[in-house]
Amino acid sequence: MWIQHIIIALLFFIFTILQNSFLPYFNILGTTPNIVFILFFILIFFDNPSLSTQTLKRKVWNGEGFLVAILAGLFLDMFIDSYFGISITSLIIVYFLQKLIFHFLEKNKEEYFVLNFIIMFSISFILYNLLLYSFSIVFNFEINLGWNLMVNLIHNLIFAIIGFYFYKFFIKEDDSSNQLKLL
Amino acid sequence: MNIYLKKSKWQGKGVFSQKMIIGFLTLSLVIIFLNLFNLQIKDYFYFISYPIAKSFWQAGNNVSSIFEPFLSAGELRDENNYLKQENKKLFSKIFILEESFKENMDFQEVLKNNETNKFQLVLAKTIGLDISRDFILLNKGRNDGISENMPVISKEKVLYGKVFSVYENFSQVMLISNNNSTLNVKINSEEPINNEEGDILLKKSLYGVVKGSGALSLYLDLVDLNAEIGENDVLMTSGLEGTFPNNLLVGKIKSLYKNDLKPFQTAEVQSFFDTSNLENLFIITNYLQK
Repeated sequence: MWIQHIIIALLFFIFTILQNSFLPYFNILGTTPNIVFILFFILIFFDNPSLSTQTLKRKVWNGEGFLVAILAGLFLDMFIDSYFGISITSLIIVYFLQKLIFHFLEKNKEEYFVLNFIIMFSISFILYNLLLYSFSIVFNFEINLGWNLMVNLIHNLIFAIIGFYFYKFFIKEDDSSNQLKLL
Repeated sequence: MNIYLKKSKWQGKGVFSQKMIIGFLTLSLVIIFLNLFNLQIKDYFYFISYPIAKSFWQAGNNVSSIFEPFLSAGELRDENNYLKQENKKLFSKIFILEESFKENMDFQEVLKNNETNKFQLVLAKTIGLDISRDFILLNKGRNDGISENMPVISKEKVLYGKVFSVYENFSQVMLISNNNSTLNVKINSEEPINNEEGDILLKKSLYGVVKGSGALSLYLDLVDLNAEIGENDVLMTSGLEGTFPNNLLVGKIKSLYKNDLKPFQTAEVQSFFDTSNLENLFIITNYLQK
């Protein structure tokens, strides 16, 4: 299990650098995909260790998502010119919200519909940006939140859907047969 | 007994158990620890990631160069880039020449130009661009004599921004398109005016403020409603705010917004800085800063 954590941490590290040095060349209307957030979201979306009969508390704490939120937040905070903890807190809130919504929707954990993913991703992405914006007012750092949020969302969704299918067909299937081909 | 039952209920089904509280406290302590060494940790992270970031930056540049000709009709791209560079240089020269002529103070202008040439510049390489905040990360920091508020320009004297925060070996630069960025500019209006003799046409030098609006975009504000400005007028730094030297290229007016209900006219500005040409930038280290 610890190897998996190291691989996830390395992936976040590489994605953080990619996001800040490679992807800006391919910006659309001044937006680049937040691939660290996308990776975080895909990991928490498919992170369902508990059965539907378990309590919300167990669902939240038994999964890997909490650790993933901290890791992703830590790397995102590296490029925010403010205090550590801003992205970590935002992602933990997003993680809780995601679990809460799934808990009340009584979602069938064996099926991962792309529509669910799109809706959940959109809600989480907007919430994450709103949280960052709120923190930026409190801690006085700069974050763009304006007319291009929707463009940003669509741009991110394209990458997220690709990631969704990649994870679903190459990693999740292997997970179910206990063969970790990619990990 | 009742107390015991209540206690076990709290521990079993409550939202916050002892384990969670310990977890949150540990996380809070870790965050506090990280913030105590905020600058050092970030500097170290940039240091570790620098070789990879540099490779990715170069790869991004190469890949975008491969795709760009397909998008910009092949060979026209190189020619267009060359003309853009030439155009920027000419804008700069034209503006300086016009100003000298208008002020009739050749010596003063020469001194100004000399002053510009006397800038001590530190070459820095860009290793990161955060479009969501309009910040870039340069590979020069406190160890190279960099400090806050130093202006950052390109070789064509295009203003990019100012140093916002400095680490030991790296610095974050706030681009002029950042929402918090404000700078005073001179507008090289293309509307000619007659002087008293009537036979020499001079161009007006108007002043305004360029503000960042995020996502690499700029707008011009605080220009008098009666001021005659038009599209393609060139904006250069005036040096009035004390952070940037004068006569650095900022951008040109793209479209004007004039409304009689508002005290000032505004304009959308097409910036001269180019995010695909960020690799080598210069930090002016000896200009008087705020």
